Amino acid sequence: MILFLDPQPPQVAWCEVRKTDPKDPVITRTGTCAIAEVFKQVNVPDGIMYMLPHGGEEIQEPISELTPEVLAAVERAVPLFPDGNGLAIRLIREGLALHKNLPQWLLCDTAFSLALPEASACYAVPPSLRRSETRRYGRAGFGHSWALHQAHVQLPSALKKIITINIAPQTTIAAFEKDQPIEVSSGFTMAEGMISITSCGDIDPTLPIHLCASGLPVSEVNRALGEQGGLNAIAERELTFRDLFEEPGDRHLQLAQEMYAYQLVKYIGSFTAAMGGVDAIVFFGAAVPSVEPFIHQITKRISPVLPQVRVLRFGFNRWEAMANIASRVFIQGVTK
Amino acid sequence: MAGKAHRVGVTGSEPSYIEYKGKDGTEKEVTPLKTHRQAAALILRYLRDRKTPLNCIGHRYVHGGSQFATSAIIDDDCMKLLRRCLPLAPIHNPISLSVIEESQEVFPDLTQYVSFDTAFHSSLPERAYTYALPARLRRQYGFRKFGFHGLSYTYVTRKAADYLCKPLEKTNMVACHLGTGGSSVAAVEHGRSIDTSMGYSPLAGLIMSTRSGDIDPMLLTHLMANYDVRADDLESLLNKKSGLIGLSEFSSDLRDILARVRESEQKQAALAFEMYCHRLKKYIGSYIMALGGIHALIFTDDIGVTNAQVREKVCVNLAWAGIKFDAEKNQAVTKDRITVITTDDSPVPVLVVPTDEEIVIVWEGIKLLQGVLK
Repeated sequence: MILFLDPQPPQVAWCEVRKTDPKDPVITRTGTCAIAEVFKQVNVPDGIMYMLPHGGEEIQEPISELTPEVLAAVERAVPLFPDGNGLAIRLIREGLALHKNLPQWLLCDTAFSLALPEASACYAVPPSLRRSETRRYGRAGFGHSWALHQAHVQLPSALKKIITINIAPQTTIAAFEKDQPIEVSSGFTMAEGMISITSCGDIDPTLPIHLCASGLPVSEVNRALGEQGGLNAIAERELTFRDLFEEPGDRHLQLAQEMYAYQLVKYIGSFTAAMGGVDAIVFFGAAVPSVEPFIHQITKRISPVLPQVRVLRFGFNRWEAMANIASRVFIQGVTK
Repeated sequence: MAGKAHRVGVTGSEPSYIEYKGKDGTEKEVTPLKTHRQAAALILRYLRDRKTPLNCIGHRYVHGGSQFATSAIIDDDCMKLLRRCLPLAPIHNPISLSVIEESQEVFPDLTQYVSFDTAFHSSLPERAYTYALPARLRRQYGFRKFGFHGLSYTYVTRKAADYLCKPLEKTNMVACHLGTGGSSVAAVEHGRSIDTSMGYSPLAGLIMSTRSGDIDPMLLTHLMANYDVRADDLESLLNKKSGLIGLSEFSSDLRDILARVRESEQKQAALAFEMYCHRLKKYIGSYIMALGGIHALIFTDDIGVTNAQVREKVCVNLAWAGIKFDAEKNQAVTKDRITVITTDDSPVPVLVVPTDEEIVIVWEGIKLLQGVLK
């Protein structure tokens, strides 16, 4: 059995994959719990895979064997995303201590975006504000790669320019040309990009500066941007992801829904322009099968400009995608 | 007649001067000009001494905040509101206010009015102007998207519609105001702005000469928390040392940067040009989609009118939006007329329209003062 560990602050999600037929991996158990409980809840594995949410420039490959060098790189990456990466490093240390002789692998959700063109990845800041880590990173890399693969399976004809949209509480969008990443919606952090349930998305950079300059502590400004902002802040109540696709009961929720749809439409236009066209737009996510009216609405809004574009939809089960990777790595030894 | 005060408040080897252009030719008065108010005082007295017939005085005021959705005649209440707007544009607004005060002193009996760079964008829908920050912060700080360059957008969209013989109220356009200082893009639906790239402040949006444009808001708090960067230093670095100068590390002038790109393997210069065009192209694409397609794309202001390379780099890959770029016509653009830079069979034309913000202030005045003027 292969154990897969996915830090989702403040908890850890895990799943066990039976090591059998590589073409048909079987997920035997899944769960979510506090970090202290993980290794008590799971069975003794034959191998472990850990997800690192933000690898920065430190982790270059989506899949890498957990060598001492990789472990040191993970440690250097912790400040990039203290919550998620902090959980990851604690899990890795505990897993290595408990199961010294097992094969262990690291998955990194941002690594795919290190291949972005420089003009898409850079910020236009002076050298005095540049640090090695200050650039854009894509998120949910395994999800976007999975969606790209599914698009090629469904439409084997030559799809060159593809936009993948992960419909999720933290929606991310990526653009690929000849399977190379060209654009990602998220930035150095997840605060930039699409509006999410709790984070602000694209805003005037002057705003956080004014908040800090007026005396708010940085930690509080971060909370306003990342935890107390987003669709919840527009709706002025705590939303579930489903609420975005229901009949709006009030004006505030209606505005939240409009902003979500509007920003999505703008990103499609922006990434189409970045590639000079688009052949297919791929919606994927666990919720996708149940939000067809929403996807239809978006498709209708873009069709006057892109009447020829193919629109694909895939229900996405993250665990299944992970199980596929686990079986590829552990049984077939494929890491690319 | 027309005129301009040059090099006001600038210290350097060249002197400041005022230019007066009349039907008898141009007069140039070389004189020290420490402040804009002082320059205005000289010009106003010049007009008064020559008994130039005046009906009213129109003023430009960059940032009218949420207080002004249209141009306004200046009275005591208006002055109060203008003062309230001072902190919104801490460099430009106080200068405008000082010029208004000087004009009231020199011509106390004359009707005066203000036109705003922000008012054109007062039509933005809530989905475009709202920032997804906690409601109490939005209210306390008055955070919302304002947008700028409204006088220019008013002019170029109206001129473009006339040129295309289409009624403005049935035309969708994306307009790019590319200045040597600030630059922005606007999505204009039926003559009304529905989105624009600058925001609460002029920092947001495009990469500009010295401004970064869009940047991850949490990257800024990351820099403040981990590298001891202070908020006011950050604001100044992002406004004055970023954008083209920050990327190229040698010039904020696109012409210098392009010269360097042509000359040699200047990696930083090439990246600066690439990113400038890339960001602009993405905004154009995003607004084309927001409008559900457009009838015209417009370039204006200094860079928009004079820089053929920027237009070419941005337009060549817009075929997906119905734009068939014509490289030859693009080279033939001049500063004194409208030029189309797409092929005759291009479904969507691209127009280069030299802007005229002063004339819009005049238009606004005529509209505003109908019935008021004797």
